[in-house]
Amino acid sequence: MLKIEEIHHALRLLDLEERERVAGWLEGYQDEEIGVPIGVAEPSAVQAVDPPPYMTEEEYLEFEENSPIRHEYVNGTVYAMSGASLAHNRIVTRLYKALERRLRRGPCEVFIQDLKLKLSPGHDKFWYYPDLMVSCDRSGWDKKWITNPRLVIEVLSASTKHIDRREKATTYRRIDTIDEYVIVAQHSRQVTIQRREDNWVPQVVSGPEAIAEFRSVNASVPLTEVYENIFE
Amino acid sequence: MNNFASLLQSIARMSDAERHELLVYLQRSGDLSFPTDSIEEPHPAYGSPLRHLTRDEFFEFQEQSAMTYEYINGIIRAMSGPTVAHCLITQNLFRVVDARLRGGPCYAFCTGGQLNLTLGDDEIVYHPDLYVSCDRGVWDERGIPNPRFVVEVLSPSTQPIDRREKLVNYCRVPSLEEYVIARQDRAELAVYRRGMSWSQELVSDPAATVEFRSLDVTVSLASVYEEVTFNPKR
Repeated sequence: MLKIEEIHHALRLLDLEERERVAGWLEGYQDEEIGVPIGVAEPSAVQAVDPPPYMTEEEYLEFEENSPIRHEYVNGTVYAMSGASLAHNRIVTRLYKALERRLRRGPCEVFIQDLKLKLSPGHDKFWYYPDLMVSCDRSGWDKKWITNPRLVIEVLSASTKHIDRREKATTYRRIDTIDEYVIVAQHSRQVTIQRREDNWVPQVVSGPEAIAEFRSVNASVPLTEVYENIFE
Repeated sequence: MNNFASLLQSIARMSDAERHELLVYLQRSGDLSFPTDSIEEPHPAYGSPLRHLTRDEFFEFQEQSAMTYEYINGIIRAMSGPTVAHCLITQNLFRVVDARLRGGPCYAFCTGGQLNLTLGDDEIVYHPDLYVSCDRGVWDERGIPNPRFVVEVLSPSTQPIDRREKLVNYCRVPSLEEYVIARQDRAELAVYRRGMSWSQELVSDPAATVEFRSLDVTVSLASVYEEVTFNPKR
């Protein structure tokens, strides 16, 4: 771990391109892919089968059945999901354990990664794979997907950050059952929580003492637990 | 581990405040030309560019800025400059559309101006590459709320936004009849029409023509991509 003076010194030694990368990263959402050596870089989306650019929902579900990789669906557009990094996977696992332990005795269930979320606000059709979801009502559970999460959590990656922060944030608030949407940074200890009761104005949680309050399911998780050993 | 890697790792562990200080330090250390995809120095009143802005704050922010930004529910993103191919495609389309609309109630925009959309609870400001609006009564300093026709030319950095998010949001605009996505890595238009439940018509045959029914315009794919040299890497 470098001291601030050492960081300044190291920054002065960088060439212009490297300094711009650092500056761009600092300015962005702190989740720009800049090769931070924590976790493994995400592979680019390898499409085993090139999906046709437009599908009905039925075609999509059939296509997914036969596909080795996951795809999301947005009004006919089918999008391949790339594999996650090591850090991404570890953060998701820690969150799962933390929530599962706290919610075990109640009616709520924590779902992780490979489960589809089907959403149909207005005339729109979405099939997403959120990183984590909590649903407390079995009436919205199907065999292969759910429709009614109360809490949705996405761990950011460089390749999906615009989708998570813009598109999904906009879609989730249109779903009546969703009361809380949480974006978890991958390269820094920072969690952004948007709640229906706060009119979706984000609460940014960061710092060593910080606690992420998942109010929709009445669970609080310290960031030290979310990011335990991630940056070591 | 090399120096750059250990530097990044140290930064990754910093608090937000420390990072902000570091950013200021970097900005002051001179000769940084900022990448167009990130946000330039924000007006001091807004503090961190990551701050959630209301739509009013956004318009104020944009007025003080030399760049254009998109806005969606509190989040802003600077627009990067277009490529030559991007401009050619936009202008080729504009020429045909504008010529057809002259003298009528509709107006085609292809540089400047913005769409200011309110969709349910969602507040959105977009800058499409080309758009047409036919009712001037509701035009406003802050943008146009009622596009009939919108074209986005894809770039690698905006592809997921144009294909997913904007497809959804444009189709939610009551006045919108057609949304067109143009690729710049090859001659291909995807047309989404309200009258066809927003299903997609894909046009990629170089000899084909495409109909913009909402404007009563027919163009050949060849004319849309006139003068465009395709870069195989994109």
